[in-house]
Amino acid sequence: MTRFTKVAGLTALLLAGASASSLNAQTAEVLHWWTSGGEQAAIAEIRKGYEARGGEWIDTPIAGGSAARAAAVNRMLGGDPATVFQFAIGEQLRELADQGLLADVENVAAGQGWDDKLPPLIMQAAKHDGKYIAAPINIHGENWMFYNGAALEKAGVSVPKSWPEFIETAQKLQDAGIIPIGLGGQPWQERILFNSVMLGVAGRDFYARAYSTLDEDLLMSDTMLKVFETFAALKPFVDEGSPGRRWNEATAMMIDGRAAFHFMGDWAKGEIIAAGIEPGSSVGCVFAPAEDLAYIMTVDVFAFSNIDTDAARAAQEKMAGVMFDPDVQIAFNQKKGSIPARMDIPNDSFDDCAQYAIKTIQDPNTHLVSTGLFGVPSSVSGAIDDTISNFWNSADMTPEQGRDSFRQAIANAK
Amino acid sequence: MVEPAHLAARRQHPDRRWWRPDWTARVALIPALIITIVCFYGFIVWTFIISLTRSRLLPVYNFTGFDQYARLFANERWWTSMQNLAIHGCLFIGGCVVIGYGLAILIDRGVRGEGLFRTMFMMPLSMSFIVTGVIWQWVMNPTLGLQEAVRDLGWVTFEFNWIVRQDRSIYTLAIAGIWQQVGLCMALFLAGLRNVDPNIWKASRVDGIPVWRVYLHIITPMMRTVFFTVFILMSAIVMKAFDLVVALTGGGPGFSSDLPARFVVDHILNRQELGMGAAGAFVLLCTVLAVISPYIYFELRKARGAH
Amino acid sequence: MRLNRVALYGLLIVAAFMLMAPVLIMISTSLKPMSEIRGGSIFALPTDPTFAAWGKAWFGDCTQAVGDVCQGLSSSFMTSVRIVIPALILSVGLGSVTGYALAAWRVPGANLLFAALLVGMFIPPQVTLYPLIILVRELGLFGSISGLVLVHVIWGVAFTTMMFRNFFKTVPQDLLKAARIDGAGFWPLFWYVMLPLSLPILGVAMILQFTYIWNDFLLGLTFGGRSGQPMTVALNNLVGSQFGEKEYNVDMAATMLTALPTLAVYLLSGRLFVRGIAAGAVKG
Repeated sequence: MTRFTKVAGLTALLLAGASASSLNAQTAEVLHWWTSGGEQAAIAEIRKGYEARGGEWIDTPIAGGSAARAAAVNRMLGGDPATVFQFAIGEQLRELADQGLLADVENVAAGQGWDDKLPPLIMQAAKHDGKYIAAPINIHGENWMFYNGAALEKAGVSVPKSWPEFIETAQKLQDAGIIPIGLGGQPWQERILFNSVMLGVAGRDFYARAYSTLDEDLLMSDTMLKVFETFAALKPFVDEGSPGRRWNEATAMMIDGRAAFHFMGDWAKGEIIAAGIEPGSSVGCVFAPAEDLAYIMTVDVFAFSNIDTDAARAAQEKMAGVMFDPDVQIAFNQKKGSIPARMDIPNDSFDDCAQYAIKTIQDPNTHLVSTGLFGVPSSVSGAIDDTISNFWNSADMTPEQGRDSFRQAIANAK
Repeated sequence: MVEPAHLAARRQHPDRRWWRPDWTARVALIPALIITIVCFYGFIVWTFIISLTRSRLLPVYNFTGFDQYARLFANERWWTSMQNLAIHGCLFIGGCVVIGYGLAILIDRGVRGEGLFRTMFMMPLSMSFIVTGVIWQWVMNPTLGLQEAVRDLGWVTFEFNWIVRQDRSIYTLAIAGIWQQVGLCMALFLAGLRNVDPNIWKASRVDGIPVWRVYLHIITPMMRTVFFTVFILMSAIVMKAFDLVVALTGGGPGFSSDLPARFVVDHILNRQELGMGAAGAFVLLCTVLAVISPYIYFELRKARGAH
Repeated sequence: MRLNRVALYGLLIVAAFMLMAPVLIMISTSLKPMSEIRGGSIFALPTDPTFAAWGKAWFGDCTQAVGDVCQGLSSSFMTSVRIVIPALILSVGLGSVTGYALAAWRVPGANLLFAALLVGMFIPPQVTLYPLIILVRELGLFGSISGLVLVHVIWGVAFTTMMFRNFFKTVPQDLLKAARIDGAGFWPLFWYVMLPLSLPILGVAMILQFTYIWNDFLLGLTFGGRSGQPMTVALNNLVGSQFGEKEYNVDMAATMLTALPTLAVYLLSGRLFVRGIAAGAVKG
């Protein structure tokens, strides 16, 4: 077919054009999934920092973490990698490194002293064979409990400090005609609630041990049964429309007072601000009820494709340096709603919620990992979401059965 | 028969008999043959090979026998999704065929504004499911959508909460799926109806046969290949149904409305389970082929008989 | 008879309304400001309609971002056009010729090839991305529009072949016989007899392929490279953010805008349907 040969010729031309532009020194193509207004404003701060140091930034936004990660990997396989790409740290990134697809930024990291400034958990996860393969930029917290002050006042209740207390409070709210928990009904959202319950009921040491070892005895322990019992006891306090609801719609329910509490990561602050409310004022933020002070963390990182040119290496190292720069991390995180990955940054320029989080993580004992993509292998992470969501939405599963299927799914996925 | 006569005047090959195999026809089939062998079958073999390995994010070739199949079959969510495939397949294909054919007949009766109706019926086909999923979710959500609206009108016991019930959520997929694809079925049936010999209508009018009987007993059997097309097309859509599930229910509540295609894609793209995902894809492909190949065989045999 | 007509239109209008309802909700939502969406009912009409969301969807919002981050759908519209036209012509062209060769000519193993080809429609493209990437890379086409067009042809040919093959099977054999006895060869028979007959199915095949290629996200994202990102990638960037704030009005407007070219194709291909009646008349 002559059409095909024509097409092939055309392609050769296109390819030649494409590679010419990437020869320019310090040009970095950055692939990321930050596309909403607030997210764009945040990444623009990194871009400003990079351009201020003489770099040229080519932006490739692809919304949705899963689509963006797949695109980054596929382009590496196709021989057309992005210079710098957003990814999740953990097993997936390590596998890419094993296959020789990544470059490290150890030189920059050593120069800037990343080891001393990052939370130890994140430091370990960002390294492969002792070298940094990812630049962490921020920490999101997942055990936040947002609440509508007016709704609590209307029912005459205060913010509960423990889960039994929470259940009593929720009952009163329900009697007053307020939905106690505005819950988004997607598996990852139900898991955020579950992990908050687990932290509160089982304590932070148990949480850390259970998820780091995935030990069957721990997962089948009585403590775990209590977690499932408490989790199940929350079911009546969610409205009928919860399943499938997107997180921002649940946040909106809490903002306008239809619901009193909302368990979500700190990115919910973006919606609160968009509704014209300062987080920490009429909409309050506290940690979910727990005796131990702890912060369940997820982290955003950028990784670096293995491109064997001096220009690309120089651009990558410059980029890593920019991303770890204290001023860039401050500006970025103020826009993003998260807190800096560096622990040595003063907290006074952040909102009340973020200030509290920064203060909290000064103690490394408070550091816990989320099970979404970072703390555990992604196969296990997915299995956890499956079983939690199945248990939460099932009308007839007992806590024993929930615990059992939880253990089994994790064992199967390990 | 204007064209062939005109052609005959241009090309004179009286010795060339009509059934003589034509090399041009064989050459014309080469691109399709290459795509079929290299891409379709090559890829299926590749998928099978990967399913025998421990591949996680990327393909690696460290073989582990049928381990991935054992893990797959131990997975509760997989079995739920396979069961859902059967339910959804029947409802969705049945719904599309019946409603699509009905609409095509209505339009074929000769209506004013045919183009307008056709476009309106096909409009859902052009909507990206990422966002229409949001609308459907709102409409079916008991506290936001139809249920609440009807209750506000005064019918307080009205219930439409399938999307939040584990035992009903699978049916909502069929509703949204039919909504999106029925226009296409209508178009296919309409194209088929337009190809029906007008003399049949003349004759049946002379004989005084009621219209519905003409459709049922005369036209429908003539539309056999159109039904075949629609069936294959809709089966392929069911088999690959991914966006629909993601946008509408996310497979939930729990994993009660999951379909195998989403299971497979989820495991390959999000869970670093390429090996198990490939095993799922292979099982899925075998299952579907086992179900539809008798139909394909029957259909092709019959066609050959008609030759 | 009159009553029948009323019932006929009644049914059509009810069906049209039911199929249009979600689209109407979408349009109504796209005209509301976010404050109205957060609090109000989805069925309520906008109290103060505004096209701000449509503007934002098309041109992007550059108030917060710097540089090219803020582009709306307009930036990639032409790219989609450049992908869809060759991909549509090649996949429908190849499918019609293949379908014709399978249906109207005696080729050994034609049914086998056809059955084998049908299997291609059942393979989820996400599963076989890796081998396809390697194949396209080895052809030197990865990351280009030509590569993407090739991929669309590969995944489209089974569909289009089936449509045409099944349609051509319904063409009366006498007609083919007569044409061939008159000495019509492969291409003349195709051009002057079969293709004109197939206008209604050509309409459907074009609609379908156009819709699939235009709405494709995954293949464009994977194979298009930086310069070949179709409009759906831009659409996804507008609506697909997972953790950022949601602007449903912009989402809905963007979806409607993305769908407009497809709707235009539906209207245009309507002409082919009408011509199909004429083709049928010739046959009779």
